[in-house]
Formats: sequence, C-alpha cells, structure tokens
Amino acid sequence: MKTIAVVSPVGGAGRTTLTVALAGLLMARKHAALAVECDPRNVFTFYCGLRTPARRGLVSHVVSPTDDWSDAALETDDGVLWLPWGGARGDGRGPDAETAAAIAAVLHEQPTWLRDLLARIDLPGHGVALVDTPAWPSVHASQAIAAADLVLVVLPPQPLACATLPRLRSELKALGKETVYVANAASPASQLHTDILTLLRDALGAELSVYRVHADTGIPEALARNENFVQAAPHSQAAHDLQGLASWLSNWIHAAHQPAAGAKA
Amino acid sequence: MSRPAFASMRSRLRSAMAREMDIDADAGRGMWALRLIFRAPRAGQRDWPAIASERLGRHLRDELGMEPDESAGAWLWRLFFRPRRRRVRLAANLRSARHYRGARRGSMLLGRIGQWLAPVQGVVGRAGRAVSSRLPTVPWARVGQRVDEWSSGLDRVPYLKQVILLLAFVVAVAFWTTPLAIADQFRLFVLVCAVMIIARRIPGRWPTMLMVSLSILMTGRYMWWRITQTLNFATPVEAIFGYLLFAAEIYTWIVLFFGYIQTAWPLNRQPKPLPEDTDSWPTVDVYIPTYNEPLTVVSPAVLAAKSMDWPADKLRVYLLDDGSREEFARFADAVGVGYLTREEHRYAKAGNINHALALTSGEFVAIFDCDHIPTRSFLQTTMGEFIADPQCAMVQTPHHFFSPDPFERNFDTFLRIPNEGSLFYGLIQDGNDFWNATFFCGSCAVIRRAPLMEVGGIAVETVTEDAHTSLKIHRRGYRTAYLRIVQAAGLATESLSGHIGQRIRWARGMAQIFRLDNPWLKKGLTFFQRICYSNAMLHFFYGIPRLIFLSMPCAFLFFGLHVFGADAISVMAYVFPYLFISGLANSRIQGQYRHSFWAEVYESVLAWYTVLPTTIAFINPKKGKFNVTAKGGLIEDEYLDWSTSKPYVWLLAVNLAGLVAGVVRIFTVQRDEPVTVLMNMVWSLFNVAMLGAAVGVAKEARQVRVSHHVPLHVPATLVLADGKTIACRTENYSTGGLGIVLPEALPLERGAPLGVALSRGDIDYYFPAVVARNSGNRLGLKFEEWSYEKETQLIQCTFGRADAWVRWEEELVPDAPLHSFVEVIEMGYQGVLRLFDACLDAAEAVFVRHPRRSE
Repeated sequence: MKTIAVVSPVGGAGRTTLTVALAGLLMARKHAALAVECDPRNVFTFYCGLRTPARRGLVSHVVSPTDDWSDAALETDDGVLWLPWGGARGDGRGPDAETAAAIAAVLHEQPTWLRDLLARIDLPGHGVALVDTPAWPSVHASQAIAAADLVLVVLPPQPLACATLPRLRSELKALGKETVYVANAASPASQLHTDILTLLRDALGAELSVYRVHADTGIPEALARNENFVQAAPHSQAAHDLQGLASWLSNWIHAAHQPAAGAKA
Repeated sequence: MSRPAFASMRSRLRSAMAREMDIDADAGRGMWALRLIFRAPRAGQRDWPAIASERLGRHLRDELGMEPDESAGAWLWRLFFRPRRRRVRLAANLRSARHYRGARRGSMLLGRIGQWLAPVQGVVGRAGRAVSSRLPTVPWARVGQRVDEWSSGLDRVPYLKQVILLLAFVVAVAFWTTPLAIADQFRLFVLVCAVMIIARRIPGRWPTMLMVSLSILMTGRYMWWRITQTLNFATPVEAIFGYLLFAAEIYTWIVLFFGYIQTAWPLNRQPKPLPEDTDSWPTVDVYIPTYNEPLTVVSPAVLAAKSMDWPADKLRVYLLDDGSREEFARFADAVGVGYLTREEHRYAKAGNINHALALTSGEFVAIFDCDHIPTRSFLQTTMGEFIADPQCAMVQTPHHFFSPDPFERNFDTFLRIPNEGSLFYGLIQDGNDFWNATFFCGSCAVIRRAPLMEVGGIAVETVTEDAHTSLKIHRRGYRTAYLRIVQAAGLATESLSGHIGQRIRWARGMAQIFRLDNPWLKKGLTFFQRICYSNAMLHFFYGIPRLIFLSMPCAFLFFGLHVFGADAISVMAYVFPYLFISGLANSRIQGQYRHSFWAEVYESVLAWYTVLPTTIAFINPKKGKFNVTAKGGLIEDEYLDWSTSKPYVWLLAVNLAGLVAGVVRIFTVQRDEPVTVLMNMVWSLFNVAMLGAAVGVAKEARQVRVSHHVPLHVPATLVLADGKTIACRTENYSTGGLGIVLPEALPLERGAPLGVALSRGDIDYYFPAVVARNSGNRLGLKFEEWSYEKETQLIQCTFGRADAWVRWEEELVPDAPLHSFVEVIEMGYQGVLRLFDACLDAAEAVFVRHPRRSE
C-alpha cells in the first residue's frame, strides 16, 4: 500500500475536495482506496453524505484505546473506505479539553503515530491511502508527511501560496520526500491566476504537475447537494483535470509498487 | 310492405343480431365481419382479433397511400395504380452515407460485398491465421540491416558497382528480348506474380527494389514485344491510330522509368540541431506575398509568422502587398511587421519577392503563401540544415492542407484517401532529395539569400517561378534539402474551377521551363537531377496521352480499326502482366501516399484542361500570358461545374455509345473475334468509370456552400457565466469566431456571455465571447474585444502549435490495390448516376411546369 499525503501551506486550498475526489477516482482505477482524515476539524462525514460529525475514527485509538475501532471507517457506494478523525461527542461538540490535550500529546510525542497506524491496515500492494491534513505547518500535517510515500502539495493560485511555498518546499526536500505540486482552482479568466501559474512553473519546473485543476463553481454546489462532483458533472473541465491527475497518480502507484514486487520475487 | 316498416324491421333485426353477437348495434362493417368469425372477448380480456385487424388495416392504408374512409372504388383503383410521387435521386449522397459507413468510413460497395463474403472471409482468415501461426517468423528488420551492411561493404570495392550494373543490364536485355511461346510467357507471368505477391508482404526497402526490378524486366519485355510484334497495320488509317496509341504508351514508359529512378530511395531527412548559442543564429526575413486575398485570410499567416520561435532581433516579417491596400498597411503597422509595396506589378509573385529582396538584407529568406500558417517551430526545424551544410541553398517543407480540396469534398475522401499533393510531398520530393534535386515549391521554404541573388532572384521567365528558381540554383552546384515534416498548413482551393486553374498554371509553367530552360540542354546538373526535373515537367504532359487512352477503344468499337496489331491471347499474355506488375510495384512504392487508380481519376479530370496550355506553351512559351497571382479567382465562370465537366460528358457519351456498338458488333460483324471486342469493351468500361468519376467531381461542386470556416480540432475549456466549466473541442475557426462541439447540449441563449480557454503548452489563454448560435451539441461563439493581440494568442494556441500537424502521416491509410479499384469503380458509378440524375432534372425543367428543386 502507498500513502499519499495531501498538504498545503495555506488554508482553503481544496485539500479535502481533492482527497475525496481522488480517492473515488483511484478506486475506479482498481486501486483499493482509503481516505484518511488527519485533521481535527472532523468534517469527512459531511463529504460522504452524513449530517453529523463522526464519533469514532482515527482518534478513537487515543481516546478509548480499549475499544475495537476497526470498523470506524465508512464505506461509500463506490467502495472507498473513509476514515474520519472522529472524537465528536453526543452533543455535537468535539473532545473535551483533557482528551484534546491527550491527543495533542500523542501527536507531539510519537512523530510516526499515523504511520504506525496505517501500517496496521491490510490493503493490497497497489492500494492507496490518501491523507487529508489541515494547513501546514501543523503537527497533523507533519504526521501525514511522515507517513507519506508521496506528498501532494495543493497550491491555490493565491499570492500567499507563493510566499509560503519556499519554506514547505525546503522542508520536504530536507525530509527527502517525493513531492508533486498541483495547482488547484485556477481560473483561466483571471490574469492574476495565469501570472501566478507562470510564477509557480518557473519556480517548480517539472515538479509542478501538468494537471492543473480548473476553478469550477460546480464543486461547492455538488458538496451542498451531497453529490460526487466528478460523477455529477462528468463533462466539466475540473472533472477532466481530476481524471488526469488520478491517472497520473495511478501510474505513480503502479511504478512505485513494481520495484517492491520485483524485490520480493 | 311500406318503407318505414321495412326500416324498423331491419333495425330490430339488427339490434337482435347485435345482442346475439355481443357488439354495438352501430359498429362499423369491419366489426360485423370480424364478429362473424371471432367471438367477443370475455370481460377483462383483450380483444386480440380486433387489435390485429386494426393493425392490418393501418398497414394496408400505409402501403397503398390511402386516406381513411375512402370508397371501395378508390381502393380497387389503388390496388393497380400507384399514386404520383417524387422522383428519387439515384446517386447516393456520399456525405450523408458517411454516417452509415461508421467510424471506418470504408467504401460503401466494399462494405456490402464484405457483408456477403463475411462467412467465407471468416473461414479463410481463421485458416490463414492458423497456418501463419505455425510458420516460423522471419526477422525482416534484421535481414534488411544485414543486406544494408553487405551492400555498403560491396560498395567500397572499386568498379564493382559499374560491373554489376553492366552485368544486370546484359541480363535484362537478354530477358527482354528472349522470345517465348505464349504458354511460357503466361508461366513467366505467374512466376513473377508469385514473387511480387510474396515480396509485397515483406517490409523494408530491398523488397521494394526487387519489385521495381521485376517491373522493369516485365515492362521491358512488353516494350520489346510491342515494338517488334504489334506495329503491323492493315490500312493507313489503322496505322495512324495505332502509332498515336504507341506514342501515348512511349510517354507512359518514360514516365514510369523516370518515376522509378526518382523515387528509388526516399531520403527521409531528419532536422539538424542548431548551435546552443542563439547569438550565432542567422537573421531571417519572412516574406508573405499577397495580391488580392482578404485580410482575414492573410492575418493568421502574418501573426503566426511573427510568433515563430527565433531570436526577436533576428526575425523580420514582411508583408509584401502587391495590391497596395491601405488596410494592409495599417494592419502591418498595428502588429509590427514590415510592409512593402511597389508601384508597378510586373511578374506577379516573383516580381513582388524580387522587389522585397532589394529592400531587405536578412541572410535567409523564408517564403509563405499568404494563406499558409507556419507553426512556431518552423525555423528551428529547417535552419539547422543550413548551418550543417554551408552549400545548402534551400530547405523545403511540405504544403499541408487542413481543408478538403474539391475532389475530397465531392467524393468525401478527405483523410481517407490521400490527395494529389500527398504523393508529391510524401514521396516524390523525398525521392528528389536523394538525388539532390528537391524543388522549391513557392511556399513553406527557406532560401539562402546569396545563391538566390546569384541566380538573379526568383525566376521571372515562367509562370512556375518556384521550380525554375531551384533549377537555376542547382545549376550553380548548390544543394537543396527537403524535410518531410509539416511545419505549415493552409486552406486548399475551394472550387473545382480554382483547383483546375491552379493545375493549368503549373502545367503551363512546367511546359515553359521545358522549352526555355530544358534541364537536359544546359551544363551544371547531374544526370539524375536532369531526370528528376524532366520527370516533373513530363508529368504535366499527361493530357494528350490520357485523352488518347480514354477514346482509343472506340476506334475499334465504332470503326473496327485494329489499332493494336496482336490477337487477344497475346495481348493478355503481355499487356496484363506489364500492367499488373507495374501496378503492384507502384502500389508498393507509393504506399500510403497515393492509392492505386486514383492517379487515373485525378488525371482524367485535369487532362482536357492541361492539353491546350501545355501544347501552346510548348510551341510558343511566351504566348498566352496569365496573371499568376490570383488563386482560383482568375478562371471565369467558363469552367464552372457543368461547363467544367462538358468535355467529360462527351467522352463519357462516346464511350457508352462504344459499349453499345460493341454489343452490336459482337453479335453481327465481328462474330469471329469476340474476345477482341470484349477486351475493348472492358477497356471502355474502365474509361466509363474514370470519366464517371471525373463528371461526378464537377457535379457536386455546384451544390457545396463555399465556407470560410477553417477546420480546427483542439481541446478547449468553456467557462460559463455561473463559473462552471465544460471540457470540449473546437470544430472550426473563422475570424473573430469559434465553433465548438459540446459533450452534451447546453441551455444557452443567443448572446449569452461566456469564456473559452485554449492552452498553449500548459498556459491557458482566455477569450471572452458570446453565443452566436446553439444547436444541439454544436455551439458557435463570437469573440468579444477582438484584437490582433488576442488573434495572435489564438493562432499560437492552435495553428502555431509545434505539434499541430505531426500526425498527418499517421492518418493516411496504406494502399490496397483491389480495395482502391473497387472504390474508384464505385466513384465512377456514382458519377454516372449523378449525371443521369442531372439529365432527368434538366428534362424535368423543360417538360414539367414545377420542376423538382434540388435539395
């Protein structure tokens, strides 16, 4: 199984959107896909059509270590497994201060906490776990990066993304992580977007994926309607872009999986 | 009994019977008849007999075209006389037939034959596959490589080549002149045929050479037999016709042999890299001559030329306007290109370019016709050749057309069957390149200034200044190169008359060069350069021989003249092997660039029109000045559709009459030699097919709307007003507008604003637009805020892309001679049907008051 961390140096870049869309598209490409939410916002359930935040999930392991949480993941009708952050209480509030502190302590003390947890999941060799994160830098994003075989950096065409990019980039270089940068929500009608894309291309060269995802108002509308955007608007350019990106990732997973298989044999 | 009493009794009886039979008392006659036989259904069940009889009745009414409630008399009448209905056209509409043919777009006739033979084909195919899977495979590529190594090793031995060629010649002469009995000649044919059929399945160049050699042997044998055995005529009239035919044949032999030499070894040159340091790159002037074309045609070429990848300080684009138009001067000023114009307009395009040569100073000159749009990579692809070879004076690239020419349009063969130009640019120029005889073709080429000035600029003596100029350059010992990589594309001539006019100009010009500056007469050319040039010129003299072939069978069918002094059996033993083998060899050489038998169609159409210009130019090259620049617009209505095809209608009529005469002859006067009559009839039938195709081309031309939309297929993104995006493809381009194919229909009003984004590499260019029309999944857009800057961006995203035309060769389909034969016959048949339809239309127009309108 390969782990892909979806990170971004700014908020609102579209990480969760990309994570869930790519998980579905990779599933359609015959990869057993697991979407993991390593983000205390705990919003994953809303993306798969539920109305309440998840009670169980990744943090169940910290909050109630005795419980069996192996069935905490949800399965949508396209076969993707969704593992939310969890920890919501009956009244809709998040974990109390004490629990939150305990969770934070675990995350800070065990940098490979997520990685170890994911290692316990039994997915086939060409399976993939996509990890959604809050904006980097954060302990959650660092956990995801530590767990990742590939870091997918989502860049919105915003000035701040350009400003914060060099720090993230050198951090990832220092960690020796394989990285791909994806521009998201770029509108060809905006001169600013076009200029920022040019700037990013100059800075990143071949590391910037050729699959830039176009801005499309259909994406939030699909979320509001509880629809899968790619299936609801298959002819939209954004859906085409996501398909392209998913194909690229699928090829990457096969290529990354192949040498390992060869070594085993 | 009184009348009312009778009526009341009748109604009582009726209601009693109705009760008994369980029907409504006032039901129709049909219902009564039905109930006499079938019982009424039980409650809750369907009345099947009634439903069936209702259907039957409706079917009968449909079939006979009857209204409901018509009298019995009308029914009876209609049983024997059908209603008046509109005459159906016999010729198929090939363009609508395309949809039936489906994705493969094969020939319709072949499709039908294929359907009949599908079971047989399945069995044979399966057996063939079973056998071939058991046979050992031969690594042909490696064998070819080995042969290459041997031959290059042998090549190093001095005088060996000459000795081998001499020996081969001796053997060939022996082969040609050895007399054989008819039966042995047949056996030889079968043997050679077998070798050919095996050789054509082997890839590589050596089997091609084998096929060509065999063809030369068989042709030589035929020639020897033809010269020694068949030139005996009974009467002087027969002799005249016989020698006419013989002369036409000599022409075809010369062209055949020259063609073999010309295309013996296509060079397939690859682009040479440029030096890293762009400072050392030379300066290039780009000339775009124009005369009377509208600015909308010229501006894409200018903007694309300006966007070519080359250091900005070393690239100068000039618009050479021979029309001295104010609009063009303003345009050139606005987009920042040079504008050159002159007072007098002598020598048309050549004079225009020569005038510009005097005013500019770039080391190299790139010339584009004003409707040829270069890609951004044009200069980087071509210029490496000049730097690698300082003696190289010119690099030519193919002329590519992204719209169908009249032939392709009228017979719907675009992208299915290679057009006239594809043989020249796909094969002949590449073959010329091997002999260092690449011609300049007037556009899409770069010339080094120094050699061009040395020969006095572009040649002005003839109307094909391009070929003449390169001839002069070759005489000075310079080299030229051909790159078979499409780096520019343009619109094909739109009308048949324009197409014919262009060919007439080429034919005239070539004949002029042949007279004024014959490649055989002056010093400076190598032997093979002379052959290449003279073959290019001889090619345009096909008019007279073609007309002779098209009319000669009638000499026998009408007048019983034996123009071919041999009996039918020996004709079969010598003519068929020659035609068959050379056909196979040519099919192998020309492969995907020309399909067998199509050359005959093209030539048949043009033959009549090239006869006079070439003959006049040959007799007096100075006579009959044409205005050269105008493309198409020059030929008046004189040649348009029906008048264009008039000579062919006559020839067709003569051949059809010849067929009738043949039938009469076979049963009356010539009962002693039916095979001769039959053979002439087959020949005539073949001519009918060719002429039918020629007529058919002209027929449709009239109906086709002249369109100014340039076909253009690239992916695009629509950005709707509400921020949603649609991935779609463009379909065509016209100045300030774009046609789009949508993946699904969209509810867009006319005038609705939206945006369309096209990409160049990974940069999106955005064009705001409004909806001009919206029907189904086709959308027409009109750009807003259109400017030259936007147009430049659009050109860069579309025609200017370096990869815009790289796939043109992949789209070509390899030749299959039999397939092609059926297709040509089908076109001929359709052409005859079109003619027949048109005759009926004409007759109707005369005799019927309300003639049927053409659709």
